[in-house]
Amino acid sequence: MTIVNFLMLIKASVTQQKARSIVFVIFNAICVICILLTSSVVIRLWTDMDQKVNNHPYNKELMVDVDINNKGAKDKLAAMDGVEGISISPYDIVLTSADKTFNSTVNLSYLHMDYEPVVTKGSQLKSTDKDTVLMPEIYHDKDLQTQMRIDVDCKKFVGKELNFVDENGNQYKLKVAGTYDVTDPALDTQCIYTSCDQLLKYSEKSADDENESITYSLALAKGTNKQQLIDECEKYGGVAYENSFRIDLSTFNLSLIIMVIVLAVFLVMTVMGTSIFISGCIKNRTNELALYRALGYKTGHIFVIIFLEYLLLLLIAYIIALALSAVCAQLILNPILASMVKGGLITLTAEVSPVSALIVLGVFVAVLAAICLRMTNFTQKIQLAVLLKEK
Amino acid sequence: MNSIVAKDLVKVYNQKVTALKEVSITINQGEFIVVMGHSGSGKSTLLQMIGLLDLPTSGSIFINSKDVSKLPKNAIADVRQKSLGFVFQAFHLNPQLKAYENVMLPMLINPEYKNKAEMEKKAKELIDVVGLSERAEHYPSQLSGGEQQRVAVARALANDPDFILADEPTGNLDSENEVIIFTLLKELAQQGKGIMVVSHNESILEYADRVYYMKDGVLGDEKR
Repeated sequence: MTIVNFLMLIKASVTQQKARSIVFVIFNAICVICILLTSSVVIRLWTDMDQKVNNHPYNKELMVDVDINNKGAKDKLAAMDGVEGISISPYDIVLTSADKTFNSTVNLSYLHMDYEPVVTKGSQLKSTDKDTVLMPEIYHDKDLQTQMRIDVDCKKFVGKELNFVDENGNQYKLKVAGTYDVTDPALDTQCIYTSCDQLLKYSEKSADDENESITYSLALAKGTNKQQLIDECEKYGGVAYENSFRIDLSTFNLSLIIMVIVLAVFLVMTVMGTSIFISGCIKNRTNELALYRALGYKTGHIFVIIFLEYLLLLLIAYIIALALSAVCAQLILNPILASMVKGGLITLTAEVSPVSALIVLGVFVAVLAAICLRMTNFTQKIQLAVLLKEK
Repeated sequence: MNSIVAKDLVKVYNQKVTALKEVSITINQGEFIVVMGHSGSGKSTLLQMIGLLDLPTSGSIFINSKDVSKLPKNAIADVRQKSLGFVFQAFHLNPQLKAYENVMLPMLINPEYKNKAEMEKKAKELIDVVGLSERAEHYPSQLSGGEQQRVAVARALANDPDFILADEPTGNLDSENEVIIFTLLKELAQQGKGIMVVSHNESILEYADRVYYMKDGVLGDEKR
């Protein structure tokens, strides 16, 4: 009931300090926009780095070379803690274009752990597909005369069959199912990719009798200590190594640190600005607050009056800021961020989600409550004798 | 009968200035007490102590036989809310609230009022008591000084306190409005309220039941 009663006082106060109220709303709207957009970029970057890099399928894989005569090695490797699955990894096959589609040799490799890259044209490889490959969207070929690089647009090959031959003279008629995004750091743009099972079958055909080892691919559980496993593999006669995951995280780590610092600066600005503003307003209302205390208003009542007034203004600022953030993100920020980070596994985008909006609102309300509590304690020190002074 | 009894009040500021020197005074319900004195005599300080707007350096204050000077802050606030009403020289009305809304201010925290309609009804009754029923919806800026002070008196009555404490209530008013305010306070005393007025205006003397003079922090004997 008391909170409803105080609405009359809050309305009177906001009306009396119209100009200050407007300044407070504008200031907080700007702070909310800055924090909402920055935090959304940070969250997206952090999530991408965690999900798309740290939890990338290629990062949850360990390759182990084992002597071909080491018969029990597979079972022992499969039984290690943290290993969820084991499969034989085929070797890449070097192909030459039989129909002169390409001048350079092409590596035929396989997609690890059923990884599905982003397909820019055509479709993904299906488990039922035979003799089907994914090509890079742009293939870096070579001009035979000038030796200069030629970029071949492979989208024109989608749906077509290309002829290749390997070093042993085996012929391959490979249908192009689709093209993959060349900015994917998990893939080598000089490779065309087929499924693991398909490449294993090709490997049997083009097997080099002098192969002395088998390569196994170990699928690992999340959070498995790879170094420990690498050491353990040695006990079973295996030489283990990580899949080379060609992504340079240093740029993204730096971006993340910079964004977090920027976010912290905005937060500090918000806290300081709001604190200074409210402090100034309260000091101008000494007589009013002294009167409330003289009439019997307790600390809790004073806190509710101050907090509700600024909470109302904050909510108005927040609603305005939410709308403007959406517009700013779409029209200004995201185009700038996209031009800074072109393609690739990780994206920099500002995308305000309901959860992040609620969290930011919660932070602002908590900061406001803390400031109002501090100011309420200040009002307790106001000498009520100010009421006895003449006008 | 309820009373305020102040015993041996001492107030020292900054360990140097003694504003009150062992002052004792009793205010009974139904009495109109006036404390007079020149500026700096300590009369406003005495009202501050009795009104629990500040605490004495030493001494006791009993309101309705309860020692209130040692209570915690929130308990003191409760005593002010239930037992005391204040009228200040500077009126201290909220300029953004209408006359009756200003009268409602003390009621907002009084749990005896169940809803806003009840408060508004009571506030308008009190506005009527002070003779301003046609001005209930006006803002303070639309009222004269005397009318504003009458609204302040109505506000002081909001929670039906036993005592009204007034500090120079006519300090900013002309002689015509002085009479109106003093008459109003006298009527309240006759209705059973304990009234204490601090003033240097001698025209109040005809309304007082008891008069005290303060000088240099010392309360003189009662004069009648």
